Amino acid sequence: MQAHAGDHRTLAELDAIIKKSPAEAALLVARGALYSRSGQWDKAERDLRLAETLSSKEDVAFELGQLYYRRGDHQKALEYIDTYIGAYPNYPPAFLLRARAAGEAKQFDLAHESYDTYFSLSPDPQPGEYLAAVRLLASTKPAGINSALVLLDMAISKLGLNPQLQRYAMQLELRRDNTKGALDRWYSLEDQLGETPEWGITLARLLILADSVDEAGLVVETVKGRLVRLRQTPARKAAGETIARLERQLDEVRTSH
Amino acid sequence: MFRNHLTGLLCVALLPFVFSVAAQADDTSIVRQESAAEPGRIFLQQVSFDSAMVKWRDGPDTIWFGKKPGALTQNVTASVDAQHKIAKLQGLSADTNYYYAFQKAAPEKAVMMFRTAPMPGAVPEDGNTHIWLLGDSGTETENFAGRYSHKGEAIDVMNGFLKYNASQAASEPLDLLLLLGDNAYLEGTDEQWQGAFFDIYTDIIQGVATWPTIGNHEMGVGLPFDICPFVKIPTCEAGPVMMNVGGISESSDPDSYDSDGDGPDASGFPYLNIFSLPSKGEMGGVPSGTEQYYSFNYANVHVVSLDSQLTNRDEALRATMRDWLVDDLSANTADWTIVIFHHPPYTKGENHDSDREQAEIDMRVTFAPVFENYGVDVIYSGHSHSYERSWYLRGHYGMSDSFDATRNALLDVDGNPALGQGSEPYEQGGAQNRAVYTVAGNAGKADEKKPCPEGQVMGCTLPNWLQHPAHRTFSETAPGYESNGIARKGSIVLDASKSTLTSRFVDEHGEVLDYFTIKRN
Repeated sequence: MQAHAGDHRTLAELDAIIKKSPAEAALLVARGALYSRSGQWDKAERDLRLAETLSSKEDVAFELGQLYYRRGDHQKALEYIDTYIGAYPNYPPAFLLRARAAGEAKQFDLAHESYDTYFSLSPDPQPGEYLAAVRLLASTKPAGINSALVLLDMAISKLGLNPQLQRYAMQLELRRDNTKGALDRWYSLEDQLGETPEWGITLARLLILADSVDEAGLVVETVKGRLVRLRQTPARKAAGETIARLERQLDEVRTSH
Repeated sequence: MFRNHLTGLLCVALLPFVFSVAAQADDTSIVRQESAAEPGRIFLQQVSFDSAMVKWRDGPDTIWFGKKPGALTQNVTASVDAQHKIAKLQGLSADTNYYYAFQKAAPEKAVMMFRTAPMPGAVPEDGNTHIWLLGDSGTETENFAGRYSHKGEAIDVMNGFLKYNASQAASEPLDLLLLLGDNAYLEGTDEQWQGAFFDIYTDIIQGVATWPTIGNHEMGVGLPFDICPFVKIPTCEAGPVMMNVGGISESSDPDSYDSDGDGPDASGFPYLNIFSLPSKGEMGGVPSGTEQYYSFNYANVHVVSLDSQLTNRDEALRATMRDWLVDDLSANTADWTIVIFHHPPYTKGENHDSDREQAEIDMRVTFAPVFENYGVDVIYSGHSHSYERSWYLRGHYGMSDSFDATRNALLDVDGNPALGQGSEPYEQGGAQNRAVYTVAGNAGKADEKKPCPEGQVMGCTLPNWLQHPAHRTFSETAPGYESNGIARKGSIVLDASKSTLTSRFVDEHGEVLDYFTIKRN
């Protein structure tokens, strides 16, 4: 990561001020955070640890938690985040950081619990945060895919139906061999994506999986016709090539049948 | 997150300075407090072909509306959210004037008017979607230590636009107002939005919907920062003055919004409290699931607002925003596609360099290929307080020294990068889609040439200031003109008819200093 253009100057100035006031915890935290952000771990740790001795442990804990998370020391990150959460139990970003650190540390129950708390505390969680949580669920718990789908449906009910969440749900349905469930979820996006070549291409693929080859062929024909009428873009040109491949695949499937 | 009493310790060293800022903030909130009896902060959101949203504060709970100013026969009672009253007017006719007021029989001067959008895909009755774009306009409230350095400048830019509109555009009414971020300095507090936006554009935003994007100054304060390069106060004589100033937050989470350096504000992120944005596809476009980035259709244009300030800073969230953008643009069939976000992919501004700042680099590397492959026509950003406008670009995702006009710009018959002007407009799209990127963060102030002393990189102009090679060149020698940009105040006027899109940079005097046209095939 490249440092902010201003970081260099701020660091130089912080150096000068800290030289004059070496026991000012706030300045040490400010400099430690800048070091942490720019990957200078040792310098960051030195400043933040010193600030910790000059102030309360809780107030430096979030920055230290972030530092250790960025550095890949997830266990240590968790210790500091827990300290911070103990002092500030209603701050959503702390639970998000704990969820991510716990996931990396393979403490999956804690990760899931932290995501749940984050989603209950944050007024505006994003689809991307739900996706991170369900990806972890789907990859870790024995019944993870089912739990992930439950969480996805909760997210959809809170944020509204959107392709990012429902597409992943469709993929999870396929992973649990529920082709009909996958088709139902994909059909639910028809109002939003039905005009896109990608929606038709995916639908055709799902129909092939469901042994509805003739229906898949009709979908491909429809997408082809639609593509001709749309303004040409590089992406739509690529979609045309994908459709040509799909047609060949359909021919092969028909022949093998 | 460094919070509360530690910041207090830092402030002890700066007590006189800090108190002068606090006193100013208190004064401002007192002056701007509204009477409970009168509606204030009246503005439009989400005006579609069959509905519109009116938001306001204080005063009556009911709004009256109709197709004639003297016959406001319909009414809606508002709901309340985040200290705003919200009335959704439904069942409206497309491309039609509507009048509204807070009394059924309101005096003429109290009646406001807006026009609904045409049916999706159709052009407005006047043949043109007329759009005003404002970048970094929020300087009316910009102050350090109670010193206001840009008072009246945003108003000058607005007056320049109004003069242009009256003389050149036959006073064509606006269809959309797009904000490019940093529209309420320095921290984007609710009070600053009032002073820098609602108190200035009052009449305009009662008649046209506002569509914003998140800038760095919307996101509160960051870590302590030396303000001396930006403002000369006596305290600076003794050395750097570190303050929690607005505009340098590195957070990706709106929950961390902090207006003053003493920890996250309990009232939340003002931007999201103020605006009601279509996260569920309410206005056309694919639902994003978040108000931080969204899209909508209006007449023959599709507009996308991306979040380069928060979502962009987190790799996973940025990837989700990118995936959404791909879906949204794939589903888009409008004549023209406009994208707005704050951090410019290509800029050599005074304090902002797209070769150095991560937000700009990430926007360029992640999103520029999507814009080109999925048919975006024009991209507008702010952040740098000057005007820069690119050639008709394709395939330039690296640093500025990797720009190669022969590969990345559309060339004219003489082999020079084409300007898209006069009888040689750019041609839209095709299998090699190109786009024009404009930086216009100068609707509230413009940077001035002040060469950097040795070793200084902020608060001054470096030798390569306004010399990004992806931007068009200027040969003028008038004040403010540099080789690849113009350091003057102004705003963008964008007109989209069925067959052409024209983007103009209009200065504070109402003069058009640059333009380009794209023609549809």
